[in-house]
Amino acid sequence: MFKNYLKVAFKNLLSNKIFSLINILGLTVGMAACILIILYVQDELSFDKFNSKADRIYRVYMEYKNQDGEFVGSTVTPYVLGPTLESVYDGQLEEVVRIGRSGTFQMEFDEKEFTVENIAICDPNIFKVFDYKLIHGDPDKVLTEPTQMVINETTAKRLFGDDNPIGKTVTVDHTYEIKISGVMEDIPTNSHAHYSAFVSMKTGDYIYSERVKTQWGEGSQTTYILLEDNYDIASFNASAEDFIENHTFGEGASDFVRLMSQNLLDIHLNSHLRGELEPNGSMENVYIFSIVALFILLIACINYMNLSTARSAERSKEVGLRKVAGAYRSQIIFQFLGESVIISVLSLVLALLVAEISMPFFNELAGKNLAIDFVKDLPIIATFVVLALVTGIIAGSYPAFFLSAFKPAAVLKGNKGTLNGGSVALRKGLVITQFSLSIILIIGTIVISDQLSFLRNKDLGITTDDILIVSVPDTNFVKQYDAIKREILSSPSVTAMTSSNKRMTRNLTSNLGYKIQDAIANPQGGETYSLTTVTSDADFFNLYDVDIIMGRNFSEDIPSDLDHAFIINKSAMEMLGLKDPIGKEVEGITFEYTIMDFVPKKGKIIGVVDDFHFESLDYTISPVMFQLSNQWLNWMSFKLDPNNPQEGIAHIEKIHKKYSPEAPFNFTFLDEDINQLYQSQEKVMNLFVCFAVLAIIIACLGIFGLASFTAEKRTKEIGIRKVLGASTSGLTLMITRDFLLLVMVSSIIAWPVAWYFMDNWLADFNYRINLSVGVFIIASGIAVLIALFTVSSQAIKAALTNPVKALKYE
Amino acid sequence: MHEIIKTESISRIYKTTEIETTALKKVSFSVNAGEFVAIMGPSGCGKSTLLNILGLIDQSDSGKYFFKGKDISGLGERQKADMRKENLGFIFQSFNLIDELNVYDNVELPLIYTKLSSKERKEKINHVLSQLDIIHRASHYPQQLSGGQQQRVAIARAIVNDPAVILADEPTGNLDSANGTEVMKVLSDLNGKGATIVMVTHSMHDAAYSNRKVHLFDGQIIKEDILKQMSHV
Repeated sequence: MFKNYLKVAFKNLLSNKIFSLINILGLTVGMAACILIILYVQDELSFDKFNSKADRIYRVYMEYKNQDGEFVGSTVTPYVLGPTLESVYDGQLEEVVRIGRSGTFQMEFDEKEFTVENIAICDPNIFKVFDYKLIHGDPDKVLTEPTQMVINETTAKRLFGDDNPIGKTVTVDHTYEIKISGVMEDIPTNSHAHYSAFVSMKTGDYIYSERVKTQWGEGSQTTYILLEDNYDIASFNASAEDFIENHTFGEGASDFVRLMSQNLLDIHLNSHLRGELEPNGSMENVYIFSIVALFILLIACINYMNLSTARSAERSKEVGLRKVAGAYRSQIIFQFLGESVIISVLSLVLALLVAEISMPFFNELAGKNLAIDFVKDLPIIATFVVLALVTGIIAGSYPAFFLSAFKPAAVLKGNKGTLNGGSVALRKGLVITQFSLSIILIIGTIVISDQLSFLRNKDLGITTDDILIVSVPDTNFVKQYDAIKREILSSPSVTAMTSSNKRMTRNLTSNLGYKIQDAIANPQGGETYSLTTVTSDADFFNLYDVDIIMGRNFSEDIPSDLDHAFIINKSAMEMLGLKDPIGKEVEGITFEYTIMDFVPKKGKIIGVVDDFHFESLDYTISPVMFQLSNQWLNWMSFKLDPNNPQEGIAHIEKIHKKYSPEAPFNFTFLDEDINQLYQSQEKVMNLFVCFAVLAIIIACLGIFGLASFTAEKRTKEIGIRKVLGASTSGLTLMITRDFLLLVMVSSIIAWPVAWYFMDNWLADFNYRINLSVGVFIIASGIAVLIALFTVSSQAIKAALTNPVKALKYE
Repeated sequence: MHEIIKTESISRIYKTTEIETTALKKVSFSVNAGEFVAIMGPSGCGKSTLLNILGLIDQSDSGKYFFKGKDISGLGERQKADMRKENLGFIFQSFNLIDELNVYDNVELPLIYTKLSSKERKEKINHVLSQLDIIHRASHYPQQLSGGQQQRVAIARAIVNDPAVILADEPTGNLDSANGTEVMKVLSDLNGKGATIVMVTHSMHDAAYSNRKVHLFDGQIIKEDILKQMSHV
């Protein structure tokens, strides 16, 4: 029986090459897209799962009330949080581990120097919490002493080649002698954070200032807890308020601070706190791509259903005959389902090939490193097989039930056209579904790209062209800052220079407390406002072309500005409720590099600058306090002569080398940095566009097949109409019109659905476009064009047929 | 000699939204085992409807149908399929061979829904193909055969399962006279070997091969002619 089914199936495939091609091509491309999306989604969902204790590991963080009375969280927690948690929750937390903020450092070994990124100080119990695997070294001892360091395999290879690094000493930043105590495997790519080396917390104790080590307001660590088996997170959360009241800033602290927790497995997809260690994914994207995959597969299935039922007349004789020969309806259903499953399995094989071939391109688009491993990924392969079976069954279901219902008495008499009104209506319904899905995807594509271009082109309130960003190499450099600046500006290729504590486009994370005269009552409670602080030299606002809307700019000619002048931005002015802020007294603090600690700073507000976007547009503009400083400077900005940027860069490098010969000279352009901010969104957009286009192409294939079938079916009608005087254009229009009508109906369905999805998507942006009717009309317009393009060629072909031939055909 | 088919006052009415057409009006009719019956009449008189009801691919609206003495009027789809599989062979005017299958596979079709092993099936198929003298065409496809050959394949398919009754709907309708005669000889031979045949035909020439002619007009039997006694009984 199966042999017979197979023979018929393959003969049918071969005898209707166009239809088979459309079906197999559609299903292949659809499944290939699904495979890639499944791999992508699986990878996104797999983050941090390599940690065997993941269900008990939580990242704790603190939320502070902002000027609007909302709590805003940051991953950066105080140094003291970890030890305090340890003592308060003794017996409930198995481990508490702190990891300092990672940084990039110079490592020197054997007279060779390497720049190593992502080095962090951490507690010695890190290997008890996370499944970071040590290759060399005893996990209980590798980070217990000062100046110990565990490096990952890649770093070990870079620094020491094939030699055993254990016991070797490297010089970090030309200052600290650190001994390699262990080597760990590279942290898997699907981790929310990556480190190339861990330095023992006891080393940190020498580096961190007393203030950092004792003050609750000083964030420096990411803190994780590992719950005891018998303790649950709900109990921990329930006690968090008491913890804040009794162990942190003192009584009443819970009015403005909260202690929060998030499970390790929730971080990658669901956490969007300030100071995330790496750009996280988003659950929303996982949903979006899952839906897109479903859409694509559905469109391919609909092609199969439509073409199979449209061609059902050709199989009707066979069905009749089989029934006459005694086949049960169930056997015929099974046969047709089997056929579609054969086609989908065939498509799966091709799809795996297509997916494999397009993998590098996809990885580049998605910023991933995915691969199909046929040996290791058995569950995934099983998923694909299930995918093929499900696809085959969905695609074959309607044709199978439709065809198996044929009455043999009717079809064997030679009545080929057993199509009833119901099946035609259903087919129209399926085409409408396809067009609706396509229109939704087109709308999605337009909205996403509009939003992205809106973000990229939004006026940030600063100039961004021809600006070069370079980090300040070391404190020695800062000490000679004035001389360096003079020397750099001596070349006409560099037109301006400034330095600041924070790098433009990066998170503003330095919050300092200020007492401000006449400010309205602080919603955070207490006398002092916690304000984001930016320190710079006097040229910051000039270089970035920021408007001074009240008072004046910092001036090097007024010596008192350095110690006694403050400038606020418009948001700060509004938050503080100051109508005339100029001259108001300010009591705050600033950082003193000579003693590596904060010192009081008192003075007056001398100016107000217009709001501008320092951080990415993911954040609204914070109230900012600007201070003049000749010490707290970490990032230099240079305005280059646009006609000769290369010369400017070369000049800066020369001076950089002169004053800091050992430090590497790395630079970025500000506009590139800004683009970088939206890179992950851009990746999502590019992926979305790719898949949307694929979906639309598959839909087109199906509609093309259906149109050619319709034209063929109507040959006689077209012949009669031609004999009676119908024109070619009139006939083309007649055939095309039906499809256009379907597009119209599809639009009515697609618009509200797309509006709902896209409005939800946009709701997550602080700065967003508004959905305009235009987008929807354009999307439907595109669908009309696609339908016209696809259908009209077939319609014209049919309309041009010689009527004599057409009539003889019957 | 026993009745293999018997109908009692069966009627069939086709309904569309506007028109009711009576195809069969209280037809009582029987066929004995080994008989060769020709059903004749003008177009639209209900011949094919009657044959379809006898073949269990259409259903009467009233009346009773006994097959081998068993009332089968109320059988379900599945039981009807079983009845067809075990007892009936069909021959059509337009041959109705499956173009995608070769001669051998076409003839095999009724057997694939039975529980026969492939060896048993092979034996049966080879037997009927030899019997009908088309064994040399076993691997050919229908479009490579002449009309007469195609109908012989269709006959082979109809008899491969040793059915109790062969139902033939204008088996020579699509054939020229030479091929038509050849097919009728085959049917006649089968009948001679004991097969029961019910054949619908327009052709007096074809009807002459039968034992009995039943004339239908406007859905009713108006006349029966006994042409010859069954030779093999």
